[in-house]
Amino acid sequence: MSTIEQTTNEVSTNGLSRRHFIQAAAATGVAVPFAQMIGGSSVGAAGKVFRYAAQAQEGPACPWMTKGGSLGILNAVGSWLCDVAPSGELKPSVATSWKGSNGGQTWTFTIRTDVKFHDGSALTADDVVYTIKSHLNPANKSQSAARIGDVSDCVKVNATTVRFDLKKANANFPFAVSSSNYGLLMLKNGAKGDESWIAKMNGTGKWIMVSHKVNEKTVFKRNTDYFDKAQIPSFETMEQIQYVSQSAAIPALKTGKLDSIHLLYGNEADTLPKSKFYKTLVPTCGGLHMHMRADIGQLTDKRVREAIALSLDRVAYIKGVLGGYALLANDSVMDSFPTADKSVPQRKKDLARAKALLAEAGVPNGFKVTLQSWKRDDIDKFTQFVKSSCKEIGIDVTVDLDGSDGGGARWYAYSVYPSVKGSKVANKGEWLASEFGIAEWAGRPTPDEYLVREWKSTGDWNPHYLDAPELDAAVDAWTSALTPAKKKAASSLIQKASLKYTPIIIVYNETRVSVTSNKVKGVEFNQQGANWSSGTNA
Amino acid sequence: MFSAIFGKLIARYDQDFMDYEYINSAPSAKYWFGTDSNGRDVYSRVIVGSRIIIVISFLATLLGAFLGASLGLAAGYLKGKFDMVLMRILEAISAIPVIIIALLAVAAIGRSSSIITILIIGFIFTPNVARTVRAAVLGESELEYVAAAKLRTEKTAHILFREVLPNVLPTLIVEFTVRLGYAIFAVATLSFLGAGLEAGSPDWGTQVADTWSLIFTNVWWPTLFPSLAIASVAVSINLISDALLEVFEL
Repeated sequence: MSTIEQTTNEVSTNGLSRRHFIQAAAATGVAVPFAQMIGGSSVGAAGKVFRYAAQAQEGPACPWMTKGGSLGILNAVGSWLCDVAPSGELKPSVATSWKGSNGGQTWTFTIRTDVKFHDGSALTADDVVYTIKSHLNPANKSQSAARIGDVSDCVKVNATTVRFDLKKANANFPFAVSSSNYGLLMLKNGAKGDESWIAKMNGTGKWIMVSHKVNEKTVFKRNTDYFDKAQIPSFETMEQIQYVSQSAAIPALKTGKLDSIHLLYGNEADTLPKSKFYKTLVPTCGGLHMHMRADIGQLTDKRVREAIALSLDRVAYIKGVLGGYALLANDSVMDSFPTADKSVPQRKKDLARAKALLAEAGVPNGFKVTLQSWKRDDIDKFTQFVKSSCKEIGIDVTVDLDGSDGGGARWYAYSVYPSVKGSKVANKGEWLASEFGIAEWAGRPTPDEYLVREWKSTGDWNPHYLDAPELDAAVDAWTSALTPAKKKAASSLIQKASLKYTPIIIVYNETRVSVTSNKVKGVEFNQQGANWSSGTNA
Repeated sequence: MFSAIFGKLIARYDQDFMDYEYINSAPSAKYWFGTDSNGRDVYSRVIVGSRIIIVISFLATLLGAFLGASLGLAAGYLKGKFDMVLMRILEAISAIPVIIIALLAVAAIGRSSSIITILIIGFIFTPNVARTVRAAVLGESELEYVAAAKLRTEKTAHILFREVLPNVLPTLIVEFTVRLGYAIFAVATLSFLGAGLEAGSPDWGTQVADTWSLIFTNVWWPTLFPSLAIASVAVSINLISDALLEVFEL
C-alpha cells in the first residue's frame, strides 16, 4: 500500500471502526443487532415491498442541483466511481480500483465494463469523463462542483481507464468522486443533469425509478441488470416516503404502513417496543453547524461568539435531549476523525467566563439576535437549547424557522450563492445570508468537503464570512498533507484556529438512528442517510 | 385571565428553562404537568402561554371589531350603492375559509409574527362584525332620534359614533365575545400550522404543534394540557357570550 493510499484509509473511517461502532452502541445502552447492520445480509428469499420514511427534499433530485433530502433518491438510482460504506470505508463501485501517483496530484480509476444505464445502454469511460466535466462546467451551476474544484482535467486513457489531473495534491481525492459527493452519480454522455433528468432518472444504480412525486413519495423497482449481482435488492419494490417530521411517521410504522424510519430521534426510537422493532445506529461526523457571521451584525466580535459557545451545556444536552445518541463535539469538524488532536481542550459550559467575555466586548447586558434555520425535528429542539442557554448570559434569541415548503425553500434559497467575500446581505432568513443560523450537514467520510466549502474563507458554502488567514492556511495544510502525521498536524491547527475564532459552533456529532420493523432484516443507512443495503423480509 | 395577567408570577419555572434530567417526564410533584422533549415545565409554559394567546386574540378581535363596526355603521346608515358594493366585497371575503386567507397572507408576507397574526385575524373578522353591526344599524337608522340628529344638522360621523353606536353597542359586545372565542381557535390553529408565532414559543398552539407526535410514544402530557387550556378558554368565552345575550336581552 502506498503512503497516499494508507493516508486515505487512515483519515477516512471517521473513527468508526467496528470496535468504535460497538462501543457507541454500548454507550447508549442499546442492543444493536450488529450482524444485521454490517451488511451482507441482503440475501435470502426475495421480499416484495420495502417502505421507509425519509426526510423532506431540500432541492430537486437531479445530479446538478441536488441537496440534502434528495440523497436517498439519487442513491437508489445512481452509482458512483466508489461508494462510502456506513463504516466510512471507501468501496469499489463503477470503478474497480484507483491509484494515486505524482505525489497525489494524479489519480487513475479503472472502470467496470459491465455497468448499464437503466435505458439498457452500456456505461463507458466517455460517460465517466462527461459526468465529471458536466459538473465542472460553470454553465451547469452544479451544486457538487466545488468538491472537485481542484480537478484540472479528466481524460479517458482507454476504454476502461479514466485519469484525473489535480491542480494540487489531494490524498483524499477518491472521496470527492464517491457517493459522499452524491451529485456525481454517473450520467450518460450528453445527458443533462438538471431538472429534465428527473422524468426518467436514467442512472446505473440498483433501483429503477417508477414514479416520483416531489416531497411525497418515490417508488422504485429493483434493477436486475445491476452490475454487482451480490447487491441486487431482495425486495422487488422500494418506496421512499418523505416526512417533514420523522416523529410523524411513527403511527405509520406502528400500524405496518412503513417498514422503517430513517433519522428518528433516539429518545423516540427508545419508546418503540423491542419485540417489534430494531434500531440501527450510525455514528457520523455530521450534525448541526451553527454559524455566526464575522463580517456584519452583532456577532462580529469573536469574544461574543465564544461567549455563546460557552453558554451551552453540551454534555447535558446530549445526555438528556438526545438520549446519548451523539458524540461530544468541540466546535470544529475535525473532532470525530482519527486524525483529531485529542489534547485540544474541550469547551464546557462556563457562564462566568461567557459573561466576562460579553462585558469585554462591550455588551455586558447582552442583546437581541435572531437565530434562523429551517423546520426539522433536530433543529427545532436545538434552537430551543440555544435560546435557553443564551438567556442565561443575557442574549435574547428569537427563533425564526423556515417551514414554508416543508423543506426549507427560503432557507436554502442561496440568494448569495456562491457566497462572495465582502457580500453583506444579512438576515434574509437564508443560510448564506443569515447573521446567526444553523445548517444541517450530513456525515462525510473525510472532513475535506466541510473544510473547503464551509470553513475556508473562499468556500462557496461559507456562511460565517470569517477571513482568517490562519484558518485558511490550516485547511490548505490539511488538503495537501500526504502522510498521516501531516494530516494530524494540520488537524491540530484547524482545531485550535476553530476555537480561537469560533466561526461555527458544533455541539455534537450525530448518531443517526433508524428504526425498522422486525419483519424486515438487514436494512442499514450510511452516514448521509442513504439506504445502503436493500435488506430482506424476515 | 388571571394566568394571562400574573403568569410570570405563578409559573414555577422560566418557560424556556430546560431540565436535562427530566426529559419527557410524566406529571409529578416537581413538574405538575410533566415536561416536554426539551425538559421544559409544561405547567409553566401553559401559564405563560396564556398571556400570548389571550392578548393576541383580544387585540385581533378588537381590530376586527373596530374595522367591522366602522364599516357596518357606514353601510347601515348610508345604504344605497355604497352599502351594496361594500357588503358584496365583505361577503366575498367571508366566503374564503379563515385559515386559507391566513396562510396565504403569511406566505405572501414571507414570515409570521404576533403583529402579522393580529392584522390577519383582525382583517378576517371585519366582514362578520360589519354584517352584524350593519343589520343592527339598519333598524336603528329608522328611529326618531336619528331623524332628530339629522334635523339638528349633526355631521354624519357624529350621528354614527355618538348617536347610533351606543345603541348598537350591546350587539357589538356580544359579537366581540363570539369573535374572541373564534380568535382563540384561529391563533392556536395558525400557531399549530407554524404560521403564527415564533418557533418554540410557549403559546398553546405552538406547544401542541411541537409535541403532538410524542403522543405516539406515550408522552401525552405536553399536548394534553395546552389543548385543554385552548378548549377551556374557548368554552368560557362562549359561556360569557351566552350570558351577555341574556343580559342585553338580544
